[in-house]
Amino acid sequence: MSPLFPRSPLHDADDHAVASRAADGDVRAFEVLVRRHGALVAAYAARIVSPGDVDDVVQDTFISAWQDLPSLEKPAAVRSWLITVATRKSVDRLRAKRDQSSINEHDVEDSADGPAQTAVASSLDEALSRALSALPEDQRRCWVLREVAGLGYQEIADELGLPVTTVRGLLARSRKALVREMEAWR
Amino acid sequence: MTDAFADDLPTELTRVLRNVEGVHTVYATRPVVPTVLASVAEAVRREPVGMHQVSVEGSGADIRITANIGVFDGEPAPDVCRRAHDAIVDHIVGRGDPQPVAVTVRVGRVG
Amino acid sequence: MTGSDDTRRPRPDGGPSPLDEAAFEGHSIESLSDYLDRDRQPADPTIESSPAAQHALAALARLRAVAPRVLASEADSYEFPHDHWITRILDQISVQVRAGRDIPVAHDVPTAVLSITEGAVRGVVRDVGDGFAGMLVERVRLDGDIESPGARAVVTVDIVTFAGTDVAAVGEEFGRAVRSALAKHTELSVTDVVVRVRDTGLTDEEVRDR
Repeated sequence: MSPLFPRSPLHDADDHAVASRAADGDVRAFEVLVRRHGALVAAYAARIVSPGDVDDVVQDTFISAWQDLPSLEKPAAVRSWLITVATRKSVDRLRAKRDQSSINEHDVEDSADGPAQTAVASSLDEALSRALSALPEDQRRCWVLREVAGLGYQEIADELGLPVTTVRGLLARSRKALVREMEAWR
Repeated sequence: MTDAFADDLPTELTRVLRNVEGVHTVYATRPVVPTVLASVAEAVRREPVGMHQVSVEGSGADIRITANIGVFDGEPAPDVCRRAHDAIVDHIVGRGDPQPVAVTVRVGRVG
Repeated sequence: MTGSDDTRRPRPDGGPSPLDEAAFEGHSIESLSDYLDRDRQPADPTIESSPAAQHALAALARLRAVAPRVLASEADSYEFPHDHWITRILDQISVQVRAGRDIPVAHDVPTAVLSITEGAVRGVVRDVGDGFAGMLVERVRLDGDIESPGARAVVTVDIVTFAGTDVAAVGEEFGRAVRSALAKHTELSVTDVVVRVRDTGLTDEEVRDR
């Protein structure tokens, strides 16, 4: 039987409580948020920017989140809100890289910088994860921005600097590949 | 007034404040080198290099001092705040300088 | 949550995919994909009446449903290269952006400009709440012209209570403790301490302390 009063109430408190306190200025609560959602932000960013940039995006995301937390109307939705912030930071970084147009930035797209690889995917989640890694980066970015961040076609086009028709095509192709992987597990 | 005076006083006043009964932290008011930090970091019981905690503006008879402090919650915060103010004024007057035009002490944290 | 998917194995030949067909009644995968993203509005009768197209749309919808799980499982297994990624973040946030308004502290010296910040007061109220089992302070609001000396203020505190807490009793005791702490650490004239309770799982109620 679980105790009525948690020993470390802040650590076990729900997102609404923790995000509210952080919005009010409680640094300990903010740290709980960072620890709780940091990996999600990192895993998400890893699907958009190159591996070397993930740490910076995570940092930028949470520093920005600290600033804007007071204006978050639904503290309970902080997790998906962090994805929104991470999207902005990830795209900013992509844009910066594009503007640099340095040949050295050519992504040795070791795009399988997703989770650790085992010999055979042992679950649907893992199989899809790998399939996602195997996609060309523009397809992967379109898919993640659409399915995880919930952006519309025009928004994706604007963020990635591509025509909307191209986005539509990339999305369709990414879905075709991922559906093939998913259906193989049914 | 020499430049050396202007550089030393903030450091001296920081030390004075740290020794005030009830004060546990002297927070940065602004960085000396703005490019070192993107934002003003909270100095908690440590002293970042190049960071003036207490800020001193003006010179001679027109000195204005600003300090941000954290206090223990055992005593009423206003009492500690007043004590911190008096310690700053006493220190400046004690070294033979004119009384500051304004001394701002802000309590940013209790406990 | 992962359920039965984990125990299945992929068919060795991969099998046919609903999206393998190049055309569904003249529609491409692209247009079907687009149709899904438009939430199937406006309804297209040729798509809606084509079994192959429906089959494909169902597959696309399944993929959409699975998307959050993929990211969540990646997050579960994500490992940061080193531990100080957290301190790097915390070192760069400024508590002073939450300082809020300056609440004056009186002194008989005219050159003194003394105050306690709104942020510090919120921290005081949170600390009071930390002393009570079964509840947690969420947000603190000070209403009134608190930048004027001796101003009247209404303090509203949102708290969350946990299972088993006597909400009414805690609300009252906590409200009294807040009033006492504010009297100690500020020179505000607190007229009301309003405690609003989010009881996990139940409806909110207001406990007004006069």
